[in-house]
Amino acid sequence: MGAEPAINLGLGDWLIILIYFALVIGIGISVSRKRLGFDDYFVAGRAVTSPLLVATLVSTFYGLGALFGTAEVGYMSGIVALFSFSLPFYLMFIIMAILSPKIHDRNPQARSMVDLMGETYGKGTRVLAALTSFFYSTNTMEIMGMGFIFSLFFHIPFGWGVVLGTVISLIYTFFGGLKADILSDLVQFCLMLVTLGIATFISWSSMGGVTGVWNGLAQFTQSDPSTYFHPLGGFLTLPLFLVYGTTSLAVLGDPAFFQRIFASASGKEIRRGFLLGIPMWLSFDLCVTLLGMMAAAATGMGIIAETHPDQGIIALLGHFLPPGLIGIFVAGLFATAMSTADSYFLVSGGNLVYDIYRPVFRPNLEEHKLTKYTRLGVLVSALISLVLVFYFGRIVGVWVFQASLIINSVLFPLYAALFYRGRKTRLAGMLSCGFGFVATILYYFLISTFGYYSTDWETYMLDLTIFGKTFTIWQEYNIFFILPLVVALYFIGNIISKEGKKCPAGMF
Amino acid sequence: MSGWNVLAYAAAVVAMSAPLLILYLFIKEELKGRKKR
Repeated sequence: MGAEPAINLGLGDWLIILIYFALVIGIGISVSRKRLGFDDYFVAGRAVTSPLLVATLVSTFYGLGALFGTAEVGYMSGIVALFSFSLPFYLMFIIMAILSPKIHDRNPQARSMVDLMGETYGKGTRVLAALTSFFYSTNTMEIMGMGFIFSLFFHIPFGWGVVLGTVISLIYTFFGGLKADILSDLVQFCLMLVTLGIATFISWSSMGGVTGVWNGLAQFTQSDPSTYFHPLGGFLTLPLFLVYGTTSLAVLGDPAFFQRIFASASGKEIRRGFLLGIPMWLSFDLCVTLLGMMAAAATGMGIIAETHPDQGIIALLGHFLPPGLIGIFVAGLFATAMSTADSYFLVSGGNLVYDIYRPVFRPNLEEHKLTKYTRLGVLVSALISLVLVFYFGRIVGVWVFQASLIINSVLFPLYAALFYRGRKTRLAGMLSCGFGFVATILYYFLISTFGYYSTDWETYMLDLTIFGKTFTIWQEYNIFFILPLVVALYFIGNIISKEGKKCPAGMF
Repeated sequence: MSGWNVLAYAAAVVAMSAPLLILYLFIKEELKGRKKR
């Protein structure tokens, strides 16, 4: 495609970005001045109310992957981005709004999703669930995104940008834990949404509204651009919608969401947090999709130079936003990446220390040491994410892999632990979680080794010929193959297990 | 066609005003919490 967009920052822009960095680091340092017990550090003292919950839920779940990914589909295909990728997630957010108060109220002592698995199915399943959560929480996409922003706007080498972005996200999370994370999320949430709102408003009116965008898209596609404005985009079918939609099930097992459920002051607060978050997620997706479409239209009209589809939005805003607002936009990009990266560093740090190290090696570890060690865990998890970035670079299909891993390994035994009133044995937990974990890794290995990457569909595929007929298997199909077996193994485990006890729903 | 303009501006307005609402609710709760303390 084209070259990277070139944007120069003015003094005002620099000031805004520096103020943003100072603010989030300051929050971390001020929170860490108070003596933090482990509950303060890991679940923010279980006192978080709905305004902060909205901010942290929205900003944590939507990172640069969501922003550039949705913008890219908007650029290439139009409003279908909202229907194919985003719509299923809103359904999951609604389900979380219904279930989260029950999860909160029935498990008042729990601190993590892994706690729920461990208490029902024992240590082995606890470790597997913790490893799943850890893999899910390594956020190479976000720290690579920060490296890209640093290199694009500050002309810092990509590698140094990656390290710098990681260090800044780490400082306040390391010192202040979830409390600092959530307070910084409030700042980041405001920046993310305000930036997108202003950008959409200015760009849409500068392009001359829908007529201008339509004309631009007609020039861009050299044909009738009506599919850009059609919810199905000319290609979305029900099976395809289901395939894209399956990864949204990850919302139901997302460890950062569970951490926030347990950090919530009450069941009502977390329900309100999810419900209020939905229109904000929707406005985020809609703005990003429209900005992607506008970038394609502006390219067609020759307003901006042709660039990579996922960078069109940067070129567009570099053209339309005045100095000062560019600074807010860049700070907004950092906010989008950092609010996701910091939360998952904390989750994965907790997985290493609270979910694995303490129960397996040091069951009597004192609470104050737990805080200290979890801080170290946060550092180690960030270091592992950095190593992954430098060793592998962009890991293709990583989100589908991470989502599949949590859906196949954890989702069924987790919700059985929470809501199933029948027999729940250790063998059932171990069999279902273990099979889901191994089968998903094996599936990803096989399809990425023996399959091919389709640039049209942006996913791994494998052609299988059976009895002379060729079937194309997508990376996303794994959930359809593996999850039913996980469910079957859960019940088989229950049947063959010699354990006699019947666990009640809600273990704490 | 004008429906698209309404949609685009509505999305922009929600995105711009949502943080103000959340900040307002947060500050209100903080002040209420301080009074209680």
